[in-house]
Parts: sequence; C-alpha cells; structure tokens
Amino acid sequence: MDKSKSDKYTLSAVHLFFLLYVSLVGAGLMDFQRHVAALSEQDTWIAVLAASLFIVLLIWMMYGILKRQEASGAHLVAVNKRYFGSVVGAALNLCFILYFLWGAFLTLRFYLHVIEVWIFPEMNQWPLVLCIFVLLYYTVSGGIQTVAGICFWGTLSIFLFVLPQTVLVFPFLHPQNLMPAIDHSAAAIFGSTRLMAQQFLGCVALMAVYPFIKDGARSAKWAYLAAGAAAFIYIVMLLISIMFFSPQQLKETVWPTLSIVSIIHVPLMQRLEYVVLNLWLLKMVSNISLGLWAACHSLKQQLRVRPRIALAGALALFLLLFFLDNDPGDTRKLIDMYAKTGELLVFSYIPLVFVISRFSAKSG
Amino acid sequence: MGNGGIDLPEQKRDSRTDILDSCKRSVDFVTTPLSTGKLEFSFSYYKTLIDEEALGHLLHALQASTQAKESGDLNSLLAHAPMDGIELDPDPQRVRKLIFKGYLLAYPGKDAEGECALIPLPAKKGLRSSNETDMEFSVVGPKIGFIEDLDTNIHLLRAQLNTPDLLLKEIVVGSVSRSRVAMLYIDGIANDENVAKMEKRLRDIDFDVVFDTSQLDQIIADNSRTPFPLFTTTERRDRVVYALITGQVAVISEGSPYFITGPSTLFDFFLSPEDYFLPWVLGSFFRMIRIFGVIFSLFASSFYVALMTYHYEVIPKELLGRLIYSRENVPFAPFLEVLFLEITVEFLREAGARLPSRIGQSLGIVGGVILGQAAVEASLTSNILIIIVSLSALTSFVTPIYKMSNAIRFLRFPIILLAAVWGSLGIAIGVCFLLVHLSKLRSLGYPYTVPFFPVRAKDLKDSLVRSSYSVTGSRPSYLKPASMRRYKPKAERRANDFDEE
Repeated sequence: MDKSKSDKYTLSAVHLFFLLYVSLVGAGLMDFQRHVAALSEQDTWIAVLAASLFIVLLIWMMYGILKRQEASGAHLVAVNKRYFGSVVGAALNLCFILYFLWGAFLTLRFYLHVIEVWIFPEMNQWPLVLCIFVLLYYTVSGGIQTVAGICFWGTLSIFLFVLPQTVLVFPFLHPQNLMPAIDHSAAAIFGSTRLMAQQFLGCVALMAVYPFIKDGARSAKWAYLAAGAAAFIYIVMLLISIMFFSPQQLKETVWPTLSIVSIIHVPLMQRLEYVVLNLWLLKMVSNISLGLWAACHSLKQQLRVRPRIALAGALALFLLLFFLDNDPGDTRKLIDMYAKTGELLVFSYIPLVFVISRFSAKSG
Repeated sequence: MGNGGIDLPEQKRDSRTDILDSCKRSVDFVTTPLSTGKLEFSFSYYKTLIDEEALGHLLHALQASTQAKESGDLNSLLAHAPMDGIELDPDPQRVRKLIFKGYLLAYPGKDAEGECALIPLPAKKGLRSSNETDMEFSVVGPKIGFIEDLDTNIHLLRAQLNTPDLLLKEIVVGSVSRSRVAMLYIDGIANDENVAKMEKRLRDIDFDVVFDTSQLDQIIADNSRTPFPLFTTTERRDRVVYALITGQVAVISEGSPYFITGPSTLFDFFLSPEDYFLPWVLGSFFRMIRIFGVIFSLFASSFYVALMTYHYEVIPKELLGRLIYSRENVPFAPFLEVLFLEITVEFLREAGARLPSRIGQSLGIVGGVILGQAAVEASLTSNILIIIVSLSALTSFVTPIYKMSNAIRFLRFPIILLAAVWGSLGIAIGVCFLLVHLSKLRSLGYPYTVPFFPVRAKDLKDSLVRSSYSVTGSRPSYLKPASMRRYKPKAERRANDFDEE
C-alpha cells in the first residue's frame, strides 16, 4: 500500500516536531493545572518533569519498535498485525482508530464547551459545529501535508501567545507560592505524575505519521525536541498558575489558563481571553485534524476504506455524538474514561510491543 | 475553403494557392507583380503587416540586381535581397503561419505552387515605446519595464544577463492569435524539472487568443479555485532578472508587457525590488511594514465588526466611551456599517481604475474627502470606522504586486461576514480556512507557503527580513536550483577599533 512514498507525500524531519508537539499539547493546556496540582500543589512541577521524562522514554520505545520494522511496515497498523496476528491485530487497530476519533471528538467537544461558557452562552451551536466540520473536512482531505501545515501554524500560534502572556503576567505573580519546595509525599507526586502523563496520551500518533517522515530514523531528534517543547509549555503554564492563584483558588478555577489571560491589559485591549480563546481554535483544529487523519489513514491501511469516505463517516459520527453528549459533566466523564483507556492502550501497549519486538526475530 | 479560415492549423491538405486565395478575400492582402527582363515575379503579402519602407528597399535592391545580371532564377534573385531569414520553398503550413507575421511570399509567374520564398518584412507599428514601470513603481532603482513587443522585452533581458546560459524557448499558443510565447530560464541554475514542467504545461494549452500573459498564468496554474495568484506577474525587468538568477522560469507572451515567473511563493508577492536597493536594515523594515500592512488590511474591519457586535469587554472603557459616542447616531449594525464603507472603497477603486488618470484624481478627492465626511455627518458610519476602513484600504495597496492586493481585498469580505456571525471566533475560523488553503496551494508543484511551511530554515534569511548581502550568497533552496551558489560574499571584517587601538 505504501511501499515507497513519493516526494509529494513525505515531510522533512523537522515537521515531526510540529506534528508531535500538537499531539502532545492539546485542549488540556487550558485546565490541566487544576487537576494535576490538586494532589501535590506547589511541587507539581516535579510531576510534570517526571511525566515528560516518561514520554521521552515512550518516544524512545516507539522509535525502537519502528526502527525494527521494514520500511513498508513501520507504522501502527502493520506493527499490530505483525506481532499480534491478523485477527487480534485487526481488533487492536480498530481500537486505536476509535481511540484517535475519540480523542479528536473530545477535543472539539471540550473546546466548544469552553466557547459556550465563556463567550457565547446563548448561542445555537449547530451552525458553528457544521462550519467547523467543513473546515475539518477541508483540512484533513488535503492529506498529511495539509495536516502538518495546520499543525505548524497551530504550534506557532501557541508559542506566539504563551510567551508574551508569561511576560505580561509577571507583575501579578507571587513566587512565594512555590515555597516550601518538595513538601509532598512521593505518593502525591506520583498521583500528579499519573494525571499529567494523561495529557500526553496523543503521543501514539507518532506511530501513524512515522512512515511519512523523510529518513524517519534520524528524525528522533525532532521528536525529543517536541517532547521538550511540550514539557516547557506545560511547566511554564503550571508555574505561572501556581504563582498566580492560591492553592485553594487553583482547585476552584475551571480554566486557570484563561483566567490568567483575562487579567492582562495591553493598550487598546483588555479581557484578552476573548481573543486568545478564539484563536485557540487554530490549535484545536490542528489537534482534531491530526486525530482524524490518523484514524482515517489507519482505517485505509486496515480495511482499505477510502479515506475521504472514512472522513465523512467520522464527521457524521461526531455529529451523532454531539446530540448525545451535551453536558460538560458528561464530557468530563468521557475525558476521564479516555485517560483510563489511554493508560491501557498507550502506556501499557507501547512497552509491551517494545519488549515483543525486542525478542522477536529481526525482520528481513 | 470549406469551413472557413478559423481552424487554421489543422487543414494540412491545403496548397499554397488555397492559402493565398483564402487570404485574398481581405482587401489588405495584395499581390503585386515585379517584372524583370525575362520573367515575372509576384509578391503576395498583407500590406497592413509589413514594413513599407523595408519593402521599398527590397524592391530597389532586386531591381538593381536584375538589371546587372539578367538572371531569371528566384534563388539568384533573392541572393541580393537586403534581409536575413528568407525561407526558400516553405511548405504550406509555414506559409500560413509566417504570412501573418509580416512575411512576404515571392514566386515566379502567377503560380505559387512551384518555387517560392518567404521574405521577412515585419512592421512594428502601433506599439508603445515608453517602457516606464507604471504599475510597479519604485523610488530607488531602475525603472525599466517591458512593453508589448516580445523581441524588445527579450532584448531588455539579454542586455542585463550577458550569459549564453540564458536560454529561450518559443512556443506558439492560441489557435487564432498564434502568439509566440517565450519561456526563459538560465541553464545550470533553473531546475530542469521545473523547466520541463513549465514547458509541458505551455505546450498543453489549447486556447484561441492570448491577450496577456496573465491568461496563461491562469491556464497553467496548479489550482484555479483560489483567489491567490500562483505565479508572480511583473512588468519590471529587475524582478524578472532576479527571478531568473534565483532559478525560476519566466514566461511572456507576445503582445503582453507582463512576465510571469514561477515557481512562486506567497512571500514573493511581498518583496519589492527596492528592498534590495536599500540598506538591508531598511529593506527588512519596509518589508515587515508591508507584511504587517497586509495582515492589518485583512483583519482590521472584521475585528471592528467582531468587537462592536460581540466583545465590547475587550475595549478599555476610555476608548469604549469614544466608540459609543461616535456610533450613537448610527442606525445600522456594525456589519452593515462596515460593509457599506468597504464597498464604497471598492467602488472608488474600481472607478478610479477605469477612469483616465486626470479624472481619477478628482474622483479620489470626491470619494475620500466628501463622501467620508458626509457619511459621518449623515450618521451612516462612525468616525472611527472611517479611519479603520481607509487605513485598511491604504494598507491593501502596499503589496508590490497588484494581483496579490486584489486577492487580499477580496478576502476581507468573507472574513467580515464570519466576524458578523461568530465574532472573533468567526475570524479565527477564517484564519484557519486561510491557512489550510495556503498550505494546500502549489505553484508549479511547489508548496506556496515555503519557507515557513514546509520549514526551510536556511531560506528564512530572505523572507520576513532581507538579510545583508554578505549572508545571502546562496539561492533559495526551495527552488531546488541546479547550483546553489549565487556569489561568494567576502568574509566580513569583524575587527573592533576599541580592541585594536
């Protein structure tokens, strides 16, 4: 199916940075502080660091798995078929496809809840949802090049917002909030680490995009850099939130990141979160497109479904799910379920396959 | 002649006589006899296409030679003709083609089927000779532009690029106009694949009359469903030369003063040749001003709509007071207000573009001053909106290439509409569509947003900023040029007086 990708479909290694960064940093950046810092409060940065190291380890393992495959089989679907047989492998692949779709849907649902609460409480969301679906279809139907393109702009936009924001909130920070340092039990920090690692569940997208990266084996540098950039963004946002809010406030604030933005004044503008939150759409679209692309492409490899039909089907499924899931509480539950499933499907699966690939015969 | 003369290229069975007969139906096609001592010759030509003075020279020369030699042979007669490029015994296709390019068909007697010759006597009347760059003006630097005559244009290029590697290929396009289309590139710099691709696309064209190169631009573009121009259109010589030396391919059609060069990227449309004539610090500054201007022009009025309609909170209260004061008598929603003013500006621009320049000037005053002032006094719009709209109209003209500024002015309207529906979220949707669309575009198969996406870090030094000549010694790598090195910059002296004194 995809033996040697022509130049038209491949991406140079640097683009892996954007793809992986997008898959690592998602909508969770808006509210992760609240959940993650609940247990270990001012020491949460250790948890973020530990979780990031864990992700680096996972990326290393994924590279370990992928490098042992032939060039034509170095992707998720082929790996599963190879190590688990065609039946179990196919079942696993379907799980992963659903998992990609689930992640994409939750991102969209979550984001639209934020929009609903924060900007347009009274609005009928259906026209908006349809418009975003058109946008998603337009993006994903452009193939990996277009998805990588939107990931590039999404990455850029987040860096353009987050860094100035950090500088602008400096006067409002209370560094003493970070004291006393290292004051929590290992269990609390481990709990936080576990919650934090769930933010990084998207990393498995690497296994789907890998065959499209030119000299994939040497692209590892960019993958690690992406993990580093993601860790950096999360730690910066976390430290700002801890220094900005008191611990109790942080537990009560639903979207700490946005609450921080709302304090910023620039000449001619205040309440910047109205603008920033909307421009987050770019980032959200890149996340969702990557998930949709991974799902549709894997489906093509598994069942030979034409990706454009699969894409239309996926969007129809999203529409149905929108009818069913209308309540932020439900979405929260779905996100928690997603995280739990992810621990099994991603965090246990990758080391398992890594071990299997280690001991199975080297491919010819 | 069967189905008339329109389907010229396909009627292969026609003889020369048929062709002459079909031409004779026009009164400006004449056949004049020339009798020498022994034989009679006939000259057939369009008197409207040939240079009468050159014809006089020819006849004079022939007369002189026949008196001396008394030879009855066409060949020996034409040996005395004072011009190059005479074709002996051309086939009928060739006759049909060249008779329209100002050639004269000479044959002995009245029978064109035997030996004959085509003598070039093309006239260049009615072409403008002033070649100032009217559309793409620059303050600094040369102001040499192109005109409607192909040979003059190629002369202008050759005069600056004194290398045998500058290759020219001619392709005939247009079933009726049979326009010569010239494709130029520098061998050893331009990627062969690009040249082949461009040539194939040009050869594949089936069209009737080529009025301007920009029509070819649309026909050979990778994607016609886009407002963005996919090839750079320019009338400036320095721009074409620069495109050629960076490895692009340039195409011009006969009768058009515009070259198209490609593969182009989005950023090519925001470069002005002036960037390279000013010191690099200033060049970069003006380039960034230009790019900022374009972004402003795209989003300023839609942002006004979004803020006025949905997000009052974003505006600080001091400014909000002013805004409310200036809008309190305006009976329309911000969307209609903006649309009214934006469309007025478009009317002014369109009217100004169609009118002779002298009337255009007074129109500008009427439109700009009187309409604007009166609109505010009649409470049709607010003062602040007038400022925003006129600024965004102004900034839409900062792009050096007119086609791009058209695209940008067009794109404002969907974004204003989106802003009216979903506020700044609508603008964000517009931005997403725009970015996705740009990522999808290809120019001659190359990504349009390079060097940003796909990222080519080395080419960034001449994108947002125009770096110093000491670092831009290599060609942009996204064009995949056959050789990377343009020139070898001298290593900069980094001595510090303070250290050395």
